[in-house]
Amino acid sequence: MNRYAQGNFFLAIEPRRCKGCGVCVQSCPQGVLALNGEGKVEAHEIARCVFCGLCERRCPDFAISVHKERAIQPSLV
Amino acid sequence: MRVAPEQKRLTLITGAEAAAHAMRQINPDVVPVYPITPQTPIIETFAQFVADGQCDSEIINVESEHSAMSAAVGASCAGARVMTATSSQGLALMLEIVYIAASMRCPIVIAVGSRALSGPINIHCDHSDSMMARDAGCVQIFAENAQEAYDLMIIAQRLAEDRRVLVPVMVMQDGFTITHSAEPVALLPDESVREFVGRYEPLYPLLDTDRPTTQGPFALPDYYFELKRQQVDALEAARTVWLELQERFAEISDRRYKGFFEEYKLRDADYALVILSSTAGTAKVVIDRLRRKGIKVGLLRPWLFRPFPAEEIAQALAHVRAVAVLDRAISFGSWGPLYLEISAALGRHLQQKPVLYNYIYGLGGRDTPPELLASVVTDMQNEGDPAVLRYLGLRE
Amino acid sequence: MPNTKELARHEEVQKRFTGAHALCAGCGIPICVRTILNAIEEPVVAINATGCLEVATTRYPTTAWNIPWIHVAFENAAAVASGVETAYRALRRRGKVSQEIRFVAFGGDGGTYDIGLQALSGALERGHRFLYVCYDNEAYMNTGNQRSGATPFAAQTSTAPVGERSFGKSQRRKDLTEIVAAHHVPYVAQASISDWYDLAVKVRKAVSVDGPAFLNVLSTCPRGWGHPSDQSIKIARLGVETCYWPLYEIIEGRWQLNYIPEERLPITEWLRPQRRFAHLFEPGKEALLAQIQRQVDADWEKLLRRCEDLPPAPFPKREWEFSSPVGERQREIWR
Repeated sequence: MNRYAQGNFFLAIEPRRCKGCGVCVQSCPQGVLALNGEGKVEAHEIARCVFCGLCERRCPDFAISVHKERAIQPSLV
Repeated sequence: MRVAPEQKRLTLITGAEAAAHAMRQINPDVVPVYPITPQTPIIETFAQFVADGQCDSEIINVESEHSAMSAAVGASCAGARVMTATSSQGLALMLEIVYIAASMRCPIVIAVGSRALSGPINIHCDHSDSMMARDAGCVQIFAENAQEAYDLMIIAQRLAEDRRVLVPVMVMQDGFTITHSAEPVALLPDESVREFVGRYEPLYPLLDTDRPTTQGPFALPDYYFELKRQQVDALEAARTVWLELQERFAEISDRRYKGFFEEYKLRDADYALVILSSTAGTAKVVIDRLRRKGIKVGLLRPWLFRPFPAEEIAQALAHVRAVAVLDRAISFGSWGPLYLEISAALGRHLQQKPVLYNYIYGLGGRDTPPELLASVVTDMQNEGDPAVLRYLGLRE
Repeated sequence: MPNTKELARHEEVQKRFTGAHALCAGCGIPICVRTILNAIEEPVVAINATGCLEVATTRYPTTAWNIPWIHVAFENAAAVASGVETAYRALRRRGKVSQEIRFVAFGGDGGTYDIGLQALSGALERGHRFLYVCYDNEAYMNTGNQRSGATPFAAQTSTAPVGERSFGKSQRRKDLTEIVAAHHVPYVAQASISDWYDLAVKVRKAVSVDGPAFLNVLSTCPRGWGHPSDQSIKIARLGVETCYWPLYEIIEGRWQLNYIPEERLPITEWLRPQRRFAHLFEPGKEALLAQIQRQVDADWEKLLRRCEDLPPAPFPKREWEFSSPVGERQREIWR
């Protein structure tokens, strides 16, 4: 599983599930994603990501998902 | 449970009505049905029971028998107790799904009004419909008369739902001869039937969303064979469960079903007739007449056709000189299905075998009067050639 | 109403349908299925006809389904669903089941328009409370692109192939959505994998009615239709923008259009990117193209006249509007 973080958010990509269809690349309004040499998706421009979630909605194979970091603040516990 | 005096009261009803009464008392959860002669009175009588509130099953009046069995599988896998009824072309149409129902281990009881398969289209009795289905993986039970049609439907429900079995059970009664003829039938009290069939506890109901299952998957050559082998065990277990249920049924009624077949004057017989269902009734009358003339004839009438009680039948016939197997169906290009089973059974289990004859009779509802049955015994006495396939009542 | 975050959250909790299935790269079906399953709040039991979805997600002993799921045969998803739903009502009435459960049947166009039409019709007429989803990829794709009643006019399939004497399928496709509406069921709609929000809203409406609901969802097939796998969403979108596959609902018999394109694209925009229509762009085939355009025009006009409720104007051209340079670049890619 590959994580691409931007602030509190990150994209999680599971290359073993990715079939390299490219639908997410086409769907991204920000041009964040591209297929690498092995035909798997990578977030090569994660700084541009607005975490809209379209890539996740449209992936046929559940290979990519959008997450917000869970805030862990032990001092407040 | 002691036999109460009320049980002795007899009701004059047809075989179809008797089956409907059994369904009423079992009160299944879901009954998907489609009409076809001659089983239609079963579902009509049952529909009236529901309409009058005498039982509260959900009837689904589907748009074909294929959908009837499909809905039955869906309901059964969902976790419901399911029953249905059909005949002939209806059974042919649902047959695709009957195989699947057996493979998916659905304990569905199917009442069959035995009727000839087209073509030509014929609404009268023969056994071609149930014989067509013999490889599907269901238990197959043949009733001789209305009383048996009633009793065996009740036993069938418990047999199907036993966890060692869990396959559909088909209960055959002869079309028109039994479905439409009124006979005196002893109905059990409702509570007896309820207690006998008990509650259905499904193993993997679809409606249990906390424990999701995938049912009816796609299997490749690496798994299919083993999955089918498991079905063999289910039919094998049905033999044991059938015998156990006979004991239990005898506790609630005065009718004793014993073993896999009825033996009528067979023990000391020189000649035997093997017949399924109602024609056996005629045969018993003929046997009595022939016995009075000193000819020692007997009858073996199987209840279970699937699983086929090969060894037991072979042992029961071992002592006779000759056996005539009467088939009310034919496997074109070969002989009668019942004959083929008996022949294989004798071959497997006996060193000394009786001479075996095959008669095809009664196709398309052709009547078989006593004289014809008597002529079969005469043929056996005359030691005819067993390698000739014979026909009874056919104009050649 | 659902947004991406809600659907994502729902999916994370439920994980009703998962990856590692064997559907093709870029297949429209899992996009359709995951959207549908995650738009439903209540527990779901799925009924599946034989086809791409069933075969590719349940090769024994694996499964991609985390909800109760049943497959019986090719032509009977609606009949099986009728049985499951009736069992639910019976067992609920008898006190053996207490929760709310939704029943969703999935069938391809093969198992719905053709061999499954009888079972569907019967289930609709009897009024069972279930949602039937037809994922329409316009041919028997699981077995290699044989023609179905949903295959469009002049498309190439293996059983109605293009050749010296043939331009592909010579018949029009059936209008199944209209056939279903003729059963007087409470909710019928057409949707597309390109418009996930529209689809999710329709699913919510569909499962809330107390009776049968039907969704016909355009589902692209990169292999069968002959386009690169990354164009799936775009091509489905073109189907909508050319008015070949309008998005509309029929709610209690009232026809309601959901989307009117600001600029209707010519049907060639839909046909050109798909290899199954490549022969229509050879010289001499102009008459066929004109015929197809006339048919789409006539169907669209008919639909407009039929729909009492048109969507409010102005209607956004795309589901996102960007004026930044990045947005411009994306629009280029999109085009």
